[in-house]
Amino acid sequence: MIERDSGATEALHHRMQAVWANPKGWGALSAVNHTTVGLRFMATGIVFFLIGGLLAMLMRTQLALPEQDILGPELYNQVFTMHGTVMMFLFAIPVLEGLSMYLIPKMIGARDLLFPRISAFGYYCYLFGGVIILSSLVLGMAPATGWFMYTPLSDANYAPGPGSDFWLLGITFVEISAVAAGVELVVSILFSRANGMTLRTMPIFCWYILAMSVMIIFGFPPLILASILLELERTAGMVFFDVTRGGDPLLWQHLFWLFGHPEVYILFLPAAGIVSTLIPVFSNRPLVGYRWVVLSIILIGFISFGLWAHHMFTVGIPRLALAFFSVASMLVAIPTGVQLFSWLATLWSGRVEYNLPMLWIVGFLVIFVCGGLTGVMLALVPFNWQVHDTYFVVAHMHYVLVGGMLFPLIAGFYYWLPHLSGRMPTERLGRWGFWFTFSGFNLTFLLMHVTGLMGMPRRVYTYQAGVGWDWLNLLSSVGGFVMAVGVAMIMMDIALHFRFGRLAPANPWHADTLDWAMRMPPPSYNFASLPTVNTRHPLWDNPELPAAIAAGEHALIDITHGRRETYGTDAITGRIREIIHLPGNSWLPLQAALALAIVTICLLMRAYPVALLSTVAALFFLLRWSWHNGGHPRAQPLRDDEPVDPLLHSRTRRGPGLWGMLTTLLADGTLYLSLLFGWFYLWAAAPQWVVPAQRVFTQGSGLLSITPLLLLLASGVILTVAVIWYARGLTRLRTGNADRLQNCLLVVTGLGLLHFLLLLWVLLSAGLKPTEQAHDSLLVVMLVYLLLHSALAVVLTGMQARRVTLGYVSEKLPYEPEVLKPFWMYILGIFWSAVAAFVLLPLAWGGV
Amino acid sequence: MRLPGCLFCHLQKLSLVLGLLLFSQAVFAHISFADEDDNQVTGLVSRFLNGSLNEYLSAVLLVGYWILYSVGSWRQPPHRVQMLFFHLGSLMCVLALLGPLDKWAATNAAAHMTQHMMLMVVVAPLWVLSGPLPQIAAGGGKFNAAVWEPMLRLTHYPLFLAYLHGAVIWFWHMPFFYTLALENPWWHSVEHACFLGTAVLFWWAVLRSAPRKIAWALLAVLLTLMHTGFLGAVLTFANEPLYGAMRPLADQQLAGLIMWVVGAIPYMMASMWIGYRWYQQLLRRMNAAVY
Repeated sequence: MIERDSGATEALHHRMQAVWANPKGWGALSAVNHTTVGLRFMATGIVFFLIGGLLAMLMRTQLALPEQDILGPELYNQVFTMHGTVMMFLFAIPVLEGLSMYLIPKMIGARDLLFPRISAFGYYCYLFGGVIILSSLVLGMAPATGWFMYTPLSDANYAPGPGSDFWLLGITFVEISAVAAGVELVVSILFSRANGMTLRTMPIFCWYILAMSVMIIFGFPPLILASILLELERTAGMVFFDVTRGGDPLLWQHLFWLFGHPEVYILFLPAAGIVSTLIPVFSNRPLVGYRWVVLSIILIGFISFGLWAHHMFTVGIPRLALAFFSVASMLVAIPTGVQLFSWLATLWSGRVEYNLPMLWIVGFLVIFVCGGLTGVMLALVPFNWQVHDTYFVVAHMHYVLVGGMLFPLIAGFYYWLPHLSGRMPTERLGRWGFWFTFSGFNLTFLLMHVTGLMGMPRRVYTYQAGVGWDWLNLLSSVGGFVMAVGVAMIMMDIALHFRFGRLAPANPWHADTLDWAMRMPPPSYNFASLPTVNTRHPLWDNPELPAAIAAGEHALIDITHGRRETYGTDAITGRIREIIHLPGNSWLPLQAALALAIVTICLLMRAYPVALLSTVAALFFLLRWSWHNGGHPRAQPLRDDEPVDPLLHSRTRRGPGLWGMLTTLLADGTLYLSLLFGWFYLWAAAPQWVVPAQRVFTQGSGLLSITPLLLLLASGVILTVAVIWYARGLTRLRTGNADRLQNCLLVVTGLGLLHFLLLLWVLLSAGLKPTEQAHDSLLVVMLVYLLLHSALAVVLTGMQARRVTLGYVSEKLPYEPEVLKPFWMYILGIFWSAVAAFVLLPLAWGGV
Repeated sequence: MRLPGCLFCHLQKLSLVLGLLLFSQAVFAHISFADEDDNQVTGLVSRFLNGSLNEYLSAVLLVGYWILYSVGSWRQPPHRVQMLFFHLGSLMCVLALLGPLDKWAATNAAAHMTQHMMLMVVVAPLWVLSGPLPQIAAGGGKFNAAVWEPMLRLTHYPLFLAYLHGAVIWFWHMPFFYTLALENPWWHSVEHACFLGTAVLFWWAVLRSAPRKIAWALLAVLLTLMHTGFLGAVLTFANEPLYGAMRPLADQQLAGLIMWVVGAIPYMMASMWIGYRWYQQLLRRMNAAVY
């Protein structure tokens, strides 16, 4: 054992703290540190969980006895809608995101996530969105059409109150945070791992979170789009789902479940990641079949996007399609089975310690296998038709979600509690809590299968006595309350342990991953020095590592420059590429989120002028945010004593920003594709689809009787020229020639503006009637989508030109124009494919 | 080493003979099948011009191509797996174009779709994977090279070829052109030539992409996977027959699903393979940079 000078270690800790610590008092709201933000996510999520649980208790009270009238039908509808919404959107996803945010940098040996301000922004969006949604319950106008908001029940005719608006706007707001977290996690996992940590030596939990984040990026945009469309239909009278004017309510279901099915796996994967992390630790051996587990994670991600229609077996989609979806639904059992057997094999071949977290894991295994089996049953179309919309589905769903997500989550909480508090959880109260929860859960939901098989439909506020459902419901309610007692015990246990738990030794569970290689509770900089990692189990192979890290025996210990630094590494091999300097605490995330919250509230109150104003405010804060980057004095202006090998990331051409942009564009592109899907779908399947008698784009009208088609093409040609110009400017910059950079950027800005104006002219002169036909509504949405992108690109390019003048962008700082380039390419791509799909295709379809 | 090589030559000769035999069988079966219920001379002539001539022509073209390859592989023996790929691809092509599918395609959208998908995602990638150029050059001499040279230059642009291929696919699925191809066998042959030609170019560009273009190749495959999926979904969910009111809707739905689901499998496999190639290549490049 090497003797280390604890005084020097402490001195290093204080130097680090000086740069990395959160502000105190109100200033804590400006904190961007991932540990802080992750904890905030989790704490807020737990509050929402308790609220959602309370709503469940209300429902179980109402259903305990037949023909009760404690909750009226209207209130009951609100309660079950809010229970589902709160649990899904405000508890399950954010808590798992919070956990990932908290853990990922610690596991991969980084000091923070790569976009810390995005973390904080995501949290505030989530918080404000959640509060807005919940306020509807307090105001007595909560959404009452079920957590999946099926149209036409949720449209302006059948749900005239503001309830659905609360849901649509609030959830969209919350989802911004989910997508932001998804982008941030993907880029962080891929590009900020410890030196030498290859994809193959990455902890398995990171693989799960990587898959989850990628799925968020592809899974959430369809719902965001659907929410926007439905909100436009409700408030602006446009048509997408109204069958009488050429829409189709099934489009909503398709878009919702395009999100909704991957969502199940978005919840399951991180939870399974917790299981795959804990089981090896408590079995004292590495996970069996790491490679197979990774493969099955990727496979689950793929398959889950082909399953959405199995939620729609009874809505009348073609029989043949049912067969395909049914097979696909059963296929997903294969990768899940691979993981299950890997866990069993690990347990089998290891020396297992059955302590409190393991108890929850065992509970998970039992419940989740049952839920999976009923899932295979439900994948059978004939059986599905029998039990559709009965309590059987409710029981299945809770087995999968509670078993597959809540149990591993609690296991994870117990496992990482010492990490957070430095104290061990108590065994006794925790075990009582487990057994109460476990038996209460099974009493409630095992019986619910029977209730469903006996024909009780879900979402009814009461039922008649004597049809055989009485005792089942009563027992389910009793079970529900037993479970609530269990949850209360767990809460109490966790609360008490902060005060009375015995102090935890270093690495108390004898874990193998880097998250335990730091002092407890974790300092905001995580690691005083950044180690090189060549193994999947760094702490098992070198138990001395934590002390060596704290003593500053590894890299990047200089903090005199005051920069928050972490390594940027190669995605595959994990070799160092650059030093990433991270932004410090900032009020901008809070300001931007606040402005967006005001936008949401104003839209709810239909105060559109104020909404417009606050949109401008939000835009201002967001642009200001982008201004404080790179060479800006508030970020890292050029200095003489900068590190040269490796460089600071803003001095390179490919840093996290570029990857962040690309990942965001993937999400954006998914939204665009969902819109295209809507167009094709309505075109082929909407029963009353009408193409306007006069051809929209070839009809000359307005000024000079130029046809909109011609304008559109001209606008596209200008856009193409602008993008080529931009690319050429960048090529010159890459050779170190920044002389004409500003000119180039100004020309592109001008061309982009011209393109934008022509496109605007098209929108105004095409004579579209979006309130009459779905055809025109979709065209308007598409044109506005293009316009928004063009406008943003013009503004950003203009800002770049200004930054050249100020010296924030130059041949030594070529970073930002590179980030912007994919955006221009993207706009070019969506423009021409929109022209092909929305203009040329319809022209050709009718036979020229 | 001499003996196995000789054995290999014999195998090749055998495969050539067998291939020709199979092929002529297919052609003759087709001819006799087509002509069995037609006796009048005028009818025969017009039928020949409208129906069979183009089939003979495509058969002759195919056979010519096949012979070219076989002669070439005599002179320049290819790798065994590659040869297998080529013959398998050619066999599939014969099956798709001259087999019963073609007959069924006239009335059955699902059969027609199967025919198209065979050409686009089975035959074309098999041919590309077989790397037939050395053999074809050996079989056909300089003239061939002049034909292939500009085509090969095109394959440096995977995304462009994906656009081209996509445009061709969508174009021929417009109801107007779709029925045109069904009614006139000459157009039908042109349609198949378009599909096969662009498909070969597309697969060539993505499966044999230069290391620097591999990201674009992946993007091109994913794009193709997606838009064919869209087209398949449109056909699946359409609430009326798009290609003639008399056609059963179930056929069209099956056709859509074949394109959407079954057709997706080769694209997915290709994207995984390209992804794997990319990964390997990055590893190599990083190792080279360090050591």
